[in-house]
Amino acid sequence: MMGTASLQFVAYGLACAVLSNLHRSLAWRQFVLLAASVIFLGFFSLNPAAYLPLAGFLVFGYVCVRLVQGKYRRLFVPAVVLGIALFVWLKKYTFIPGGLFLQHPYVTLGLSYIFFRVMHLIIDAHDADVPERIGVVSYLNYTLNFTTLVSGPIQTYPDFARSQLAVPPLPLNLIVIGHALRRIIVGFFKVNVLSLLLNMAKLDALESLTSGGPSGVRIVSGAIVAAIYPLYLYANFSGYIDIVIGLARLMRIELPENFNRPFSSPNFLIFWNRWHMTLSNWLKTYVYNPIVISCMRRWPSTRAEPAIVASAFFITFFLIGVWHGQTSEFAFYGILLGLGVSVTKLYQMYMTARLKRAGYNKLARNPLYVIVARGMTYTWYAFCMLWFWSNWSQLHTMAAALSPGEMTAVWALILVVASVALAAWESTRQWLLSFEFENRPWLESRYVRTAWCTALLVIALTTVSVLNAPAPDIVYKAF
Amino acid sequence: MSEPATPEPDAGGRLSRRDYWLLPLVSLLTVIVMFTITEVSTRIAWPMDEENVCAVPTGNAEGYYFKTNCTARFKNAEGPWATYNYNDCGYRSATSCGPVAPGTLRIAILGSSVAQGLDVPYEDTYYDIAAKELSRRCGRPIDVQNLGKPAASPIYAYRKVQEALKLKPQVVLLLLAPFDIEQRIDPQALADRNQPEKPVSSNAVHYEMSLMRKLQSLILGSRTLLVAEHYLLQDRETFLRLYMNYGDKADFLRVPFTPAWQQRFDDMNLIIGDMAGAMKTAGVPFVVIPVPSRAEAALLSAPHRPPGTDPAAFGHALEKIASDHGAAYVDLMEPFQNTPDSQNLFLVVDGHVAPAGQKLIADHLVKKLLDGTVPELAQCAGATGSQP
Repeated sequence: MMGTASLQFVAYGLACAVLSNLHRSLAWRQFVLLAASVIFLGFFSLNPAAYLPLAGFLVFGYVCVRLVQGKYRRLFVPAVVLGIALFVWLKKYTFIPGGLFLQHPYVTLGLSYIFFRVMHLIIDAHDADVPERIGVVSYLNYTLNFTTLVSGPIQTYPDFARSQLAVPPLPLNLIVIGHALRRIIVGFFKVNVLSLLLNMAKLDALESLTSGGPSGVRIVSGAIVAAIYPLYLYANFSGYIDIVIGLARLMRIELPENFNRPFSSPNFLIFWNRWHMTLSNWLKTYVYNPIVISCMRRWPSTRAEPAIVASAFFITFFLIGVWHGQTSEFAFYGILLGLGVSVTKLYQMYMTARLKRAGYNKLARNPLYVIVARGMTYTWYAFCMLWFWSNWSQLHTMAAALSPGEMTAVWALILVVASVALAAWESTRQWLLSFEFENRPWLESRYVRTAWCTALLVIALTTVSVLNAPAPDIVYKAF
Repeated sequence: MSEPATPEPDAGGRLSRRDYWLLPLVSLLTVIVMFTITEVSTRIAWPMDEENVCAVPTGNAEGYYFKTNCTARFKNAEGPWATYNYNDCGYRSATSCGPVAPGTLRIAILGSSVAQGLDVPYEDTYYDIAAKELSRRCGRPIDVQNLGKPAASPIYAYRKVQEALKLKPQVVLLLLAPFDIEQRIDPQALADRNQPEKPVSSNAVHYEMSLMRKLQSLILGSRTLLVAEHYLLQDRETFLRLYMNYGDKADFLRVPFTPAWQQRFDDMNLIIGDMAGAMKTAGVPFVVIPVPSRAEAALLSAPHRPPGTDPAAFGHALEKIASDHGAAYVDLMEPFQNTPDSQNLFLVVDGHVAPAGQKLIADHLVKKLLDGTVPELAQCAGATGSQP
């Protein structure tokens, strides 16, 4: 099996990029992408029967798109409902009786992201936002594209078609190749070094938290356990996205960005505009906006607006939680996310009403307010994430290791450290970017980036080689 | 920390002519500067000097011996500086190998680097800690003569039995770690174990290193790499995953034993049997002590062991051999199992037992030696002495 951000994956992607560029014709590029995606899927099971449910879902999606796009627009609602039901069933959500599931093992890799793509196609086909008739190969390349199959980003079909189906294809010169390689190297470093170290630190802290010890040690360990996961996930996920954006660009496909400095966000709403951006955009387009529009039509009063907006946010983010996993922990995670965004929105509306827009804007720009708000955003996200990476039993074990007072101290510590550290990071970044060379920040010069990427590559390759070489053992010394 | 959401500023431009050579040069210089800085700084922060000025080549399979009354000081990168005093017999012992004063009890130790307490200052070795504790409990001096030698095979330990018995010890300890018997004993050497050592061909020692080999040696000998390994492999799961990738080398952790490992235990059965016989004849208690490796300790601490593995299998095999030949046995698995994350009691890359692990071994050894195995020590079993 090929790790999704491993050296093998990068090598595979680079080989596919080379093949894809052997000929500039659309047919060749379509063929290479399809073959690469099918072969990539093939790494996950050698049993053809294991792919049947996934294949069935893809066939269902394609048939629905064609029907809804054609004469059978009335099938739109049943298609959407059936699509959701199929997804929930294939993903084996725990609220469904186990006896109803398929009993043989099957591949669900990428199903969550395929679901978004298929739903988007059905909805946009109904709304005539996908003008052209989608061919089978384009459909399969869009849904199975190996660079976005496992963890996104979630691209819209028109966006995908703009680069993949472009004639002539997107340009690929040395500078573009350089930028693509830089993304791959930075991503590879984030996944294989940064996230690895963060995960090791988290596991150490977790062990220290649950193995007793003085109160101070447990408080610090608890704070590390809770606070480190968002950083770990960021390094891991955004690193993976960096790699696939780079690889796809080498295949002349432009993928959307998925992260934009999320931890700089001064509130939870802005955070979600910068974290897993393609997911939040999808849900904003297909869940949040329809809910708000239909509710506003039904209850047009401005007094109902805060409740409608807050409820729409809550539902949208609850669905984000539920989409991430099949168990009750993810439902609770969704509730916490929903609470975070809806309370933030209500607070904004309340403060705007109280201070007027100018007053609230002034407050929101106050440096101290921004520092604390940024820290609170990070702290709340770290709190929500507890239900994302652990289960009830682990949560109970962690909670049992701390008294209520110590738990309060843990979250206070996270808030203070996050506020200070993120403020320090922002200031340092601004300071570093203030140095200019050839009318551009010195840090963004080609030479600095080349040196930087070389350094990251050396560190990443060293780490990967150590972690793939045989473990050291006693070496007899010849004196 | 994050990637830009805006297009690259010069994506549509052209690479200037100078950049065709300047960018690769920047890359190359970065690698050279990084390597130099990290190598120099890690060599300063993690000094290493493993030249043992007391080791003298013998020209036979024994390899080398230690000069008598010689002192060497060297250091493994991961461990502390340690002084090695070799006494009048060339043993790493604080006292003379001559006859002991009346009332003094003597312990002789056989084995390899683990037996000798390599990479650890003398006062932190398991045998010095144990000797001091036994002396305190018994109210009489305990003398230790350590005949252990790094890289010594079990055959070497066997050849030292008569030398050890001449020291008139009250007990002889044989310490064995899995890597001591990992190299299959040459059947001819096993058959000739009672014959004098044969000289080895000098041709085998001298060879020219190719450039590639020199480069490989430079990279593998890199202190930066060692420090990276030290930190990355502190993680138990990572270390175990990599260790279990070994085939034959790690098969002492897998049950049932492979034919190759069964053969090694059969060889040990012969050697330990002969050693036990000699001890019995001399009337000296003989104790076999399997010392866990870092891999065994990691497996002992792991919440979930890979199927088909048993960290105690090596110890149990030696326990059976020892009991079959009437030798005593110290089970060190128990204290290592009772210590959380006992893999941390070893030097991560080097693999030898660190000072904390030496203390654990010493405490358990004291208990065992007081349980009646050594008649002269049995009388001290009830004494608790004054705890430091």
